[in-house]
Amino acid sequence: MSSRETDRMSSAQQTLDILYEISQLLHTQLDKETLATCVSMIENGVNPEALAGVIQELRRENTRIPEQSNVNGQ
Amino acid sequence: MRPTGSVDPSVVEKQLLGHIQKARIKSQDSFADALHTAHLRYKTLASRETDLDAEILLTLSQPPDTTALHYAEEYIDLVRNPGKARTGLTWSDILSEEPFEGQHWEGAYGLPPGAIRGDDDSTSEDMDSLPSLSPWDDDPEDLEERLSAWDTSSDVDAHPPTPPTQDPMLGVTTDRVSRQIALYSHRDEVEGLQALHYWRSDWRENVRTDRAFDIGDPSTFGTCPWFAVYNKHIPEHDAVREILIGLQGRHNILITWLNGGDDQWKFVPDSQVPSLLHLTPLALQSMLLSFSRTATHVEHLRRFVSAMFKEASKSDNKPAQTLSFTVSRRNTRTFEAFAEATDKQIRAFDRWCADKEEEVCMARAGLGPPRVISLLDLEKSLREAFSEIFKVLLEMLQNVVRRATQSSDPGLGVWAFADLPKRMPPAAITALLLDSLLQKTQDYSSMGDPVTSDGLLKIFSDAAEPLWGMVQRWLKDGMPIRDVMTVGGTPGHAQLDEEFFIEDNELVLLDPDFWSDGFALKSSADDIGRAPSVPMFLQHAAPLILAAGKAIGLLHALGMPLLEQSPGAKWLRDWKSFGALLHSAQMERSVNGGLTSRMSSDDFSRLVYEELLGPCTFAKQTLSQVLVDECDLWTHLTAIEELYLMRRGDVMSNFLDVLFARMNTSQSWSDFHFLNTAFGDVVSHTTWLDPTLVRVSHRGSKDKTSSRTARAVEGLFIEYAVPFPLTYVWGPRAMQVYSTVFVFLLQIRRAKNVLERILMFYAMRGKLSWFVNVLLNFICTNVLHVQVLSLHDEMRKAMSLDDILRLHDEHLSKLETRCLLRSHTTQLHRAITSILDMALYFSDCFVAYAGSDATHDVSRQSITPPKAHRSRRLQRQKRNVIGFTQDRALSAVESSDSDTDTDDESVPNVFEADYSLAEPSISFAEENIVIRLDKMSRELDALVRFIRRGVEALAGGTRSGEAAAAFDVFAFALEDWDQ
Repeated sequence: MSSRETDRMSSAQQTLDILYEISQLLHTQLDKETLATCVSMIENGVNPEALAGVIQELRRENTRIPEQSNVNGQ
Repeated sequence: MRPTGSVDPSVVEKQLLGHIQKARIKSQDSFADALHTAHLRYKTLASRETDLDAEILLTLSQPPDTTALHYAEEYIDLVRNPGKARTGLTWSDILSEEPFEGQHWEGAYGLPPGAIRGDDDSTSEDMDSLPSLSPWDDDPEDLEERLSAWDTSSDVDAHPPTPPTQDPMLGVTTDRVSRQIALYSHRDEVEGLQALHYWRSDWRENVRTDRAFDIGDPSTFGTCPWFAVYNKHIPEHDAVREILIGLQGRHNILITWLNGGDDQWKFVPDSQVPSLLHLTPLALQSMLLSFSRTATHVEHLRRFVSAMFKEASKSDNKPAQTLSFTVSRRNTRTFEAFAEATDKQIRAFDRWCADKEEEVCMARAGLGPPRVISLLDLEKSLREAFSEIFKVLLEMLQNVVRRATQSSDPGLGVWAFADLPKRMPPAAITALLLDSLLQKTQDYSSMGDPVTSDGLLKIFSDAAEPLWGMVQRWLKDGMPIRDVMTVGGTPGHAQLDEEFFIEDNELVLLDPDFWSDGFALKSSADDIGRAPSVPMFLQHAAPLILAAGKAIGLLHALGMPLLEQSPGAKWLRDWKSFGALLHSAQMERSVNGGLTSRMSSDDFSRLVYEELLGPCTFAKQTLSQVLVDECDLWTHLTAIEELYLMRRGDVMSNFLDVLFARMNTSQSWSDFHFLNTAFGDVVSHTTWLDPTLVRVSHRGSKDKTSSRTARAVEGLFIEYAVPFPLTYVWGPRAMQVYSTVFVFLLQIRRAKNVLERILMFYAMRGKLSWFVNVLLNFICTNVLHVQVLSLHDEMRKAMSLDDILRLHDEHLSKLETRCLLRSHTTQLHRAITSILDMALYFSDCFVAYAGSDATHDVSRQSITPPKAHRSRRLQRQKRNVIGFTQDRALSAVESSDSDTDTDDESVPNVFEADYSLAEPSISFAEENIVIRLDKMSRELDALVRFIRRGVEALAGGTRSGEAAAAFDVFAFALEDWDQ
């Protein structure tokens, strides 16, 4: 592994760290793993706004499932 | 290169900066700092990496909660003091902090610009000032530099936090001095302003207590024990202002509005009312009470008005169909107009108060002429300007509300009226309100209180306007016509307002009772307990309005609108509003150019009546003109008289001859077909009238017609089909009366007819003929002819359909009375019928005795001669004898005959065994005929005498009234009986 490669890696790690900090500050409720996934997806050309939309939609779905199970339980 | 390409790095940065700014605005400084720091660190990285993944974070970001804020604090602490334990805030830190630090202190407390320590050089967008304890300066470049140092190297400890460097002692002293100066100058201004705030609870007037009490110097009054009950005094002009504010219903320090307790919904003097120096507490209290009363009255009215307005705007959205008929929740238009007029008055009052207040302020500022401002002066000018109008209005309104809702709750607020269900019909509420207003106006005008009465009159005039408008619409369009085709209620057709005093009984136009009963005044309801629905000022004009509206409606229905008949002038074009009408009336009565409100309710009534009389009379006249010209009133009247009253002698005689001939045979004469054919045949030879209009029918049973009594023809009924509008004149009842008269005439002529055929027994025949002729003569000449002539005379003068109807009804009732068809002359009528029956019976006797060939019939033309008298029918009738009936009748007649002059009571017994009730039963033994004739003669004598006495009683009595003269003639004619 070349030193250049190592540099790049650590820089990426730092970037991810700061991004995670910002993410925490902005209260996005993303854990580090998810954030890393998101970043890599965006690196690969996914529209960040669309991705954000998808995440929000998934969260909404997630909250709805227990509600529905409650309703069905009754 | 970004594959998406849609995200600009600057956009992300801008958004992030926006977040930071938002955090600062929300005073989440640490959060903002943390964000800023993180951003800067990110930027340094991004400058190398050109990564823009913050976009997703921004999109996903949520408002920071407490955990996020905690995290932010920790984060910033971590960034600043990496590796060092976090130090808490200590008292020494706080005490060493500069009190006036930061931009927000700038300018406050009059601090000079230099007094504030802090970031004067920082720009507005760069609000990220760090806390004072921060070792770092706010310079972004500096920070960036440090951050990059922190990023790249691990020796952060090389930059330990250093306290701000400044000269401690010198700065503190200068700051303190300048601050104190600034504080005092500021306090002075505040104190100066507060000194004017007399409404503050800690306010003290500058009262001199160091001098002895002197009546001539108000400033020493504070030392007097009477005045010193309250420890707070305010100047009188301020008190006046407070009162003015209170009168407008606003919060003030002198009088307060109570929402509960014993004095619910009242203004009362405040419990902590400040005193006035020169007034004793009692004096002040009484003055405040007086103002409180006025304020209470106005406030009540104000609430009523706003409740009405609210309700009115609400009910606009409601469709009319949902309104209930029995209990109406909707407020009447008159009430709404009244609320509006009251509102106008209240606004005038508010304006007056505001003007007064302005005067006070101006005078205080030294503008305008000098003024004396006092509570007493205010009260006096208030009374001069408004007198007792609000009190009167409120009392009247309370009374009306209590009656309309039938509520017994004395504490009921008038504003609740808008929501309460009304227990009176809308028209009655309207009438009640208008009457009460007018009554109060007159009361106060007669008391010599022109201010109140003028104000009330204005309100009255405004409140009456909707009703006046309804009158106009009624007169303009006439009654709403309900067509036969649309009966069952199409919602589109015009309806009368429930509030209007004329009610629609929902009859169809072609109903004969439509004219008389289709529309009526609501007050004509017979139960007395109900409130009148016609307001007083319309009382006289109401029948006029009703009649005119009906006339116009009928004209519309006939397709002759009124405007076509008055060329040039459109119908009701110059209709005046009620206010204008009142004004013009006041102008007429004005004395020395000043308007007067001194008008009695009769004046109002007359005013309205005079205004309406012209158009109403015109409308009615037009209608009667149309009836005469277009509907051939006279033609039909004459035809009916000729038919029913047999004034067309020749044709009717022909018809009767045919009818009698038929009766003399044993054939049924009551057959519908025969009657109408006979009539048609007779009439077709003349040009008299259209026989298709007439229908003759018999409504009795078959048995009755076959019996040979005068009653047989009683079932005969003649109908004359008059064209449409005239059906109101000749309705079913009129036709019934005409038919009765016709039947009576027919009975007499029948008797006369049969008597004429007898050529033997001259004595008996002569007696009967005499009576029948006298009777016929009286009826034809003295009753029918006289009445018809007088009817024609009066009818020619009639101005309206109502007049015609009235005249005709009177005419009919006169005819009935004179023909003895009324209920109180039943006995006389039955006696006459008995005599007529006797004539028929006599005829039968004669036929039985001499045979039908012996009869002399001048009018028999083409009718087959009657069959032999010993027919089967007659034999059957012979067997059908109830012997004792006749015997008893005869004995009764004999007994009455013996004491005719003394015992009147016995006479009615005769009629129990009436001839008309008995079947003719004749035994034809020759030796009996003489005895029978003798008996008949005696009975006839008794009956004629009875009739004579009865008629004389009628002629002299008061019961028959104006008919006495006619009966006099009859009685005079009957006197000849004895001779």
